[in-house]
Amino acid sequence: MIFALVGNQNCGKTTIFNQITNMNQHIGNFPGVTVDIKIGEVPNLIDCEVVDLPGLYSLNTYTKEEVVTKKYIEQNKPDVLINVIDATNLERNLYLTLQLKQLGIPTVIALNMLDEVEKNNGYINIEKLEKKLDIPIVPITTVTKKEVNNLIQISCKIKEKYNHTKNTNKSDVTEKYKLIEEICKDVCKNNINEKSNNKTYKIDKLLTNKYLGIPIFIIIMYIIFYLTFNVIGDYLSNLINVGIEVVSNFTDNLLIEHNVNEIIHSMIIDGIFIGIGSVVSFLPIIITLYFFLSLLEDSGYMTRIAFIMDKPLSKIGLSGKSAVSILLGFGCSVPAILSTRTIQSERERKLTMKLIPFMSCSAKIPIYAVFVSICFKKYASLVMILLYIIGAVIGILITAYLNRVTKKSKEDTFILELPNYRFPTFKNTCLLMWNKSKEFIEKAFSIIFFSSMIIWFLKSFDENLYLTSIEKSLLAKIGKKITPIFIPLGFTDWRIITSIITGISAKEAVISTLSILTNTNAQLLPIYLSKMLSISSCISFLIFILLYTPCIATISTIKKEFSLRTSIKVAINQFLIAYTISFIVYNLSNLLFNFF
Amino acid sequence: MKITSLDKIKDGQFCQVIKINIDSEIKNRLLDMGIVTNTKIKMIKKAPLGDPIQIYLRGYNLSIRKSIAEKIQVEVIL
Ligand SMILES: Nc1nc2c(ncn2[C@@H]2O[C@H](COP(=O)(O)OP(=O)(O)OP(=O)(O)O)[C@@H](O)[C@H]2O)c(=O)[nH]1
Ligand SMILES: [Mg+2]
Repeated sequence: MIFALVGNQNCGKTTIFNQITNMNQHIGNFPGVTVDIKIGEVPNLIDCEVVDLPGLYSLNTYTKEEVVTKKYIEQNKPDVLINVIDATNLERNLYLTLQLKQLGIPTVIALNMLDEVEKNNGYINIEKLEKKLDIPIVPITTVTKKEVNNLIQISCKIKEKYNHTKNTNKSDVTEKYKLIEEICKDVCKNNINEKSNNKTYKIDKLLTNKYLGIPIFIIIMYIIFYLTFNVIGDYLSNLINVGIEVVSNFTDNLLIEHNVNEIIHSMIIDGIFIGIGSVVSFLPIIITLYFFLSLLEDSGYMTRIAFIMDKPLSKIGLSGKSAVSILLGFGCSVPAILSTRTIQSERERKLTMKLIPFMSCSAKIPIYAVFVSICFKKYASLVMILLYIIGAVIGILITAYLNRVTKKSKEDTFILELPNYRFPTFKNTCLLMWNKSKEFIEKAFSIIFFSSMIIWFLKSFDENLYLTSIEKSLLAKIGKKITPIFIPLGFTDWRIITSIITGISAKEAVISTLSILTNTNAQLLPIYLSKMLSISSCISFLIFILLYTPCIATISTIKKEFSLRTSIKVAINQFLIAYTISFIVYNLSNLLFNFF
Repeated sequence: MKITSLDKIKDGQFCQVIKINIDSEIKNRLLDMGIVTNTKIKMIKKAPLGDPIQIYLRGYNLSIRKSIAEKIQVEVIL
């Protein structure tokens, strides 16, 4: 049996899905968090699946993620629809319910967020509502295990009892809303959302204030990055570094004690430990950034950012919703690109996607941290923030140009629900951080592991597979062939070039590669690298990394969401843009340094 | 009773929808969101740069661009 969770955006479908399946899908307080189908099993029930779908306001689909849901219902014919309803927003939620009723699929209503209705001193007569709609209702307050178990039980039974026939009359929107108004007048007492609404207006007086709104947004972003790079993340990273060192030394001694084969020993210590260790030590900084991004999402501030930024973004052909994708892009480009599905105009959507690679993703943080500390020790975190700004500014200029040369579309628009603020829940925040750490570790032990092994192999052997010194290795020979291409940018060492290339597999691989090739851990790497690079080359390298071709995962997401052609174009364009700008920066800074 | 377009309503003032003068998918979306004839709408505020606007209807808040609001004909409620 298949149960499909259907409902308006932001009504709590994924929260219920996670509770039923014990999974850990992304939740956030803004419309359009889920943009793809997620399937999970119901524990203790054989052959029962729950499907989490993107939210939709109407079966008259408008945005891409809504189409996903509609297509799923039409093609996969779920056995039962679990219609999740946000009780604080009854009127509009019931509109979809009336539409779903016409599909003739057995339906159960999960009336969610009743805790908030209660807090607002509102009241909904559930029995009466059940009778009026002729659909069974399961009340849910805070999505507890007990409540969802009850929901599943009732959903299982519904099929036998079901006797609705398809009724296609009353299809008119106005009529539906008239009917809903009558129902609501009958079943609701007191205003079901007035209190939290007024609280939200009070907060918005400041956050979307005419004069202060945009400055506050900028300050919040600055604080987030400052705390991430300078205070919290940095401190935690140092702790982890110590830990890695201890484990590595311990293993090293163990291997020596047991007389393990020298090649294997070298592979474990000089390949795996150095490669993965160099990357893992930056995990805390990355998680700290995700922590703050999740606060933006869970509180509901994300939609306010879209609200205040719509006007400036519309000047370069984007929509307020692009701001959400852009911010997600600071975490990882893949979900950021997926999130553009909520942008209705294809033109705005494509422009947003093209801007995302300019938003420096969290995987690049280790690279910045290492290279910035070579030349800007004292102002490291400021320079890191400056890099983000440079990326954004270049991206915006290029988007503005693309906006001019592509035809304007009539569809360009902005319609966005502004949900009330919520206090971010401790559970959601922890789960998100746990999830991101898990993803990161998985990546470290898959992609980074393999690239570390390959790099270690290529640097240890020559073309006849004899062990050799690094300078005579296979990798050195290949690297030196490519090096001339990058000499105009100031990168003369083949090891730097190699790291740029492995960085396309995943950006973390840049640092793991450099660590392996110089045989130093992340802490000592800056000292070593400072011998390989002049200050100008170092700046040029930072700019190049900031802008060049996104990782494979991002490119393949663009291919899936747009087309192969678009993805290749993005990959090549980013490389050319990075090359050109690094070239200019390198020569300018050389000129400056010669001058003084 | 004054008839005007939604974007002209002052912050905090109420109005009632008469007609949506758009003929594209956007109109259907607005209808689906509950902006139908006779719907009561409260103007909450404008974004810091004057566009988009925030309105309150049917118990929830919605923001739409001014270019859309211009095409929604409303009657001011005093
Ligand atoms: N107070 C309260 N908040 C809830 C409840 N259920 C969900 N939420 C919150 O509602 C917000 C939206 O939850 P999601 O599960 O992401 O909603 P969704 O329906 O999957 O949203 P989309 O994927 O965007 O369509 C989050 O901030 C949740 O923490 C509930 O029963 N009570
Ligand atoms: Mg969801």
